[in-house]
Amino acid sequence: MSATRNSLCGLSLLLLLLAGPLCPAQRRVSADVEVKQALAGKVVTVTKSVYCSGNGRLVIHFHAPEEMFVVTNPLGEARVYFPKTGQDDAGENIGLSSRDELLFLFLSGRVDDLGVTQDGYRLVSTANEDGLLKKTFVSEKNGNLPRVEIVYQNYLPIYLAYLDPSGKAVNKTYFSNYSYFQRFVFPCRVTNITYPTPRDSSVTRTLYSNLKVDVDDPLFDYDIPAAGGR
Amino acid sequence: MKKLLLVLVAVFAVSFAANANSYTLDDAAIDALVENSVEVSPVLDMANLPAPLPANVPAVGSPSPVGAFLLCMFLGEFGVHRHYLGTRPGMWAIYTFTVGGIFGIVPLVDWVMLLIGLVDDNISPYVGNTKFFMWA
Repeated sequence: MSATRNSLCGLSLLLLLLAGPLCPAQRRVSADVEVKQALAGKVVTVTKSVYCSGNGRLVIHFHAPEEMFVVTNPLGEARVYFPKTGQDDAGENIGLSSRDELLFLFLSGRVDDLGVTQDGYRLVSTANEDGLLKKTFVSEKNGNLPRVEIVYQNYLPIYLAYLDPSGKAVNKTYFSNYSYFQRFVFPCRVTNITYPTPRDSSVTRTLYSNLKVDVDDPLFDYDIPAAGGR
Repeated sequence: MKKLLLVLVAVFAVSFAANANSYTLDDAAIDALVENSVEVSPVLDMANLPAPLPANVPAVGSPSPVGAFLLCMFLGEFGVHRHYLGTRPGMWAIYTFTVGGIFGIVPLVDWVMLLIGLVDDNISPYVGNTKFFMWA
């Protein structure tokens, strides 16, 4: 009975995820985000609100430690604005795209590869490991990190790792606390562990809260004031 | 002292919880690690950097490969090494775009590139670089 329920649940999720890219309507999702990075007994906290539209427009309002706005799109045309000083750091294309935002990845149904194929990785194998689906991607271009593994449970990613040439995971990301919305699922807790050296590691915990789908908020259409507000 | 012990216990628990065979984490251990750590600011403040720096690291404006490499190693997720090398304001925030710059991979590649720069004693392509991907 339980197995049937799990299968139905998995099938529903699969349909949900497959339907995501087919329904690219102008969906709007906002969330409050708290990022804490711990390292050697110290922790750094960043809080922000993210406003993501289905068309790829992304507005990030940083609250702490310094108020600033970042407005960008899938082409990476980003602008950075500091309300306190009126400084507008638009300038050149800095290569920062809304496709890099986790919320946008899930909103656009990119859970099948979490965007790694855009970074030059290609799927080489899929395996079943104790009921979990494990996908392996490789890249010929990225010699330092030639392999990526993504593990799925009930069709949702729970683990992503970048491996060095020796096969050791040097960067691991864990996804949990999934929230379910119509045609949209999202992990509200993301934990990243990086091992810059074999003896050191940093832990970054990202908590998403107050997720709102298709609500009206003027910040979805926020535009940086002309001439940086000056 | 008690806090330090708690942090050490949490670090051990995280190491244990995140072993190579596991695809899930002990969230309580992560929470304990985060909550028992001392809060510091990510905004570049060379005087209060939590990571140890060698005595010969120069002031901001004349970045050394060693300084940039160490900052990237210890504070890479928040792009502090980029501010040390000279970049646009707010780069620290851009590095937190997802979880430390696209699943934390951007600072890791930065670190590798800076390691190469350290070996070659040439990090000039990264000094004053305003792009998110400094190596691109």
